[in-house]
Amino acid sequence: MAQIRHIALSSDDTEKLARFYTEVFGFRQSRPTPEGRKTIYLTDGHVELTILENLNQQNSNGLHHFGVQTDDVPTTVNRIEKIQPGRPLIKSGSSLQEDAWLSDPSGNHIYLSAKGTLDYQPVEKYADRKKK
Amino acid sequence: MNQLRHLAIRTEEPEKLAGFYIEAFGFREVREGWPPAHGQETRSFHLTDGYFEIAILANRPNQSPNGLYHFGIKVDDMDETVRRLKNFQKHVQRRPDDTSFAELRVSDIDGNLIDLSVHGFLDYKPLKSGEEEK
Repeated sequence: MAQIRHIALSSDDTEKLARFYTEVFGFRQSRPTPEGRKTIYLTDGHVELTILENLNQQNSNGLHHFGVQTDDVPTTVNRIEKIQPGRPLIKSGSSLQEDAWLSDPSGNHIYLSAKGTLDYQPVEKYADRKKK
Repeated sequence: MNQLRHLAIRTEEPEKLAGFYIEAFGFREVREGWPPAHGQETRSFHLTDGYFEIAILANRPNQSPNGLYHFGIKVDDMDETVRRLKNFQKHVQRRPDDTSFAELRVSDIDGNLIDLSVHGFLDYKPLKSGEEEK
C-alpha cells in the first residue's frame, strides 16, 4: 500500500525551525543539508519532516506539500491521470520510474516517490536485509 | 519516540477529495459513516494508510482557506512536551472544552498548527461529547 512518509514546511529560518522540532519533539536529522542550501531534513524514524528554505520568500511560509511512497510510480501516476483527466503532472523527477510531482483535485501538492524520502527506511528495509 | 501521524486538509468537497485518496493510493476510512460536525452539512473523512492518518475536513465556503491545514504528532508525554514548548514560547493554548480528537493544539515558532495527542490519531477517542460522536 502507498504510505504517507513525508511532510514539508517552508520557512525563512530553517535552522531555527529545525531546532524547535529537534528540541521539543526529539526528531533527528535524516540526511545532510546539500552544499550551499539551507533545507534541513528531519525524521521521527518513519516519516520525514523537511524544513524547506523559502528562497527569496517566493512561497508562503508554512505547510508546503506532503509525500507518498509507492512501490510503482508509473502505475500510480496512470491511475491518477484516469481519475482526474486533464490535470497534468506538475513535473516528473529524473525518471518517472522513481518520482513525480502532482496535485490532488483541490490543488494540494504531492511528491510521489518509489524510494521514499528517507535515506534509511528503519523498519521495512532492515527487515528485508535480515531476510536476505 | 514522538511520531508524526496526522495531516489535515480542508476542502469544500470532502467526499470528492477523499474519493481521490482512496482510489489513487488505496487509503481506507478509519471509521465509516462519520456524521457531519455541528453546524456542517458535509461530513469530514478520516483516512489512513495503516499507520498515518489523513483527515479531509469539510470547509464552508469563505470560512477559511482550503488546503493543507495542520499536522499531528503522537507524543509520549504531554506534560514533558509542553514543558519543552515553553522554552520556545511563553503561552501554550489549551483547546476549548467542546473540542474532540487531539488533546492539544499548538503552533510552532513559524505559526504552523500542530495537534498533539497521547492516544493517537487512528483509534479516535473524542475527549468530549462533541457532535461528531453522536
